[in-house]
Amino acid sequence: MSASRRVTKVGLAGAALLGVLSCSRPVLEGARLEQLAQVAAQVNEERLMGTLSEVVKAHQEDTPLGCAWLTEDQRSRHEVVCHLTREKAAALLQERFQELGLSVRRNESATTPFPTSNVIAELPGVTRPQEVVLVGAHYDAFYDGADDNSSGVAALLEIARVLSQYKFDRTVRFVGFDMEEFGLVGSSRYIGEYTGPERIVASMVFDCIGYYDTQEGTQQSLPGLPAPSTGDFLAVFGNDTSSQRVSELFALNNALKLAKVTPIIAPRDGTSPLTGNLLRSDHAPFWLTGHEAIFLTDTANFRNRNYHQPTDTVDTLNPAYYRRTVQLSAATLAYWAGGPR
Amino acid sequence: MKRSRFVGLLACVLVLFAAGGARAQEVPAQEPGPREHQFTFYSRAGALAYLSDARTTGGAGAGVGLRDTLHERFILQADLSYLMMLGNVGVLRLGAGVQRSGTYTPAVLLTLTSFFGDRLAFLTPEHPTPVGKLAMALGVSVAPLRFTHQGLQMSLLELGVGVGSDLPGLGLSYQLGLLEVGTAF
Repeated sequence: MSASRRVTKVGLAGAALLGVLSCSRPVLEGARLEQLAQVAAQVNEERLMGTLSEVVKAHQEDTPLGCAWLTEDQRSRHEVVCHLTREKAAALLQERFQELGLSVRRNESATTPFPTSNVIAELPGVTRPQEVVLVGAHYDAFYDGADDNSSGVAALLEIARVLSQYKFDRTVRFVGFDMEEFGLVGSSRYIGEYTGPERIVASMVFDCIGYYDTQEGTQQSLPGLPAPSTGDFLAVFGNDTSSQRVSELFALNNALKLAKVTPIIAPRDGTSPLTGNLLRSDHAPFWLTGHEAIFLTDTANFRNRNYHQPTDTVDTLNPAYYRRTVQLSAATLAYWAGGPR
Repeated sequence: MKRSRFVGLLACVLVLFAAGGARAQEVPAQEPGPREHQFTFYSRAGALAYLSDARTTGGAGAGVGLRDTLHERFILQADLSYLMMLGNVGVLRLGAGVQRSGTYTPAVLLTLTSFFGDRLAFLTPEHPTPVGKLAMALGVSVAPLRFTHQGLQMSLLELGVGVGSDLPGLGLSYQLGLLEVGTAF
């Protein structure tokens, strides 16, 4: 099937979907589905996996942060803490953003015991630059950290590469968060210090998005969360504030037929006792401060036995499923940003 | 330790009710017949959950209600509960059923339960946007350990199931009542 035919088919499917949805709620109002499909098609699997391998290499060649602050007993019980690396991955992020011609800055905090340095790149909006669409992933990792979270960092870079070829109404901001593994430190500081006339209108956070397993029984869940039993889906978590964004991603995915998605919307800011596990990444500080944010994940340790292990390596990931996740993310961010123009 | 205390407490309650029943039998048969309406104010504690492809709601908590017992046999009741664990969830439950007369008064109820407030919502092809914040379920519940004596009512276990309203698709409600205490007025 030629690319143009495929795009037309996608467009028709999208139009049909829009027709159905228009009877209920305008989830994808004004979406230019053909252009969004083209944005998604720009995501290149080979390049994506190549970038991921480079991020992993940066972790391998880095010196771990050290864990002298732990007692011997703590060190023996939480050995993983002694294998956190971050600086070379941050440098790689910054360098790649600069190569794309994006304006890059660091959001530094010297607060002890964990000084942080978030890497921030921007694609300025054309007509509404004060409205910001944010996409983020933490760049610190234990061991190789292929899934957690080189997959998120490589996705960030690939999406930056794709979106930087276009112009958007809103500003698209790419953020590499520091020190997520030690308690969402970088993202908490970023949103805690967030001021100015600009407004974050939507956010998307990646954490562990490369591991998929199509075998039955590979997915675990929690009571009350009806997850499929095969670990081959992308989990998308939102809260009440960001539920519209989750609906938009879900509708776009249905229109563009990209990935198997399981969207879950937590009540309020997600802090109820039964939803604590939904707060385990950098979207949580956004929810807790009333900002819209959705969290994309392969569900990490609920599926991936290599989570926080030396075995979290590139060869354990599923490139095709991972690429589809990144395609869906790119199209969704492009839609949120009011484009492509 | 806790288990033995609970068993002890249960035994005391049963002995008290049995003793009360025995004393009641000693009273000459001068008492009036069953009252047409016996109103009872009750409080209850337990857990309720509503699960469907589109949502999970419920939690554990407590509530209060009003019951009208007709001729010591038929029951009409309404109660309102507040549940925690999944945000703030309110449950309004209407029930109608029958009970055994006497001191040991197990009951069976037909219930219409509405859950409102916070919930975990799931998007599916059938529900591409979050479902509303109200879910209803029609079900049945049984209270096998229920006792009534001199205007005091106590139920130590209540189990219920129901079918819900998240169409298309099936919703199921589950109820576990742990303790209910009521007093007639």
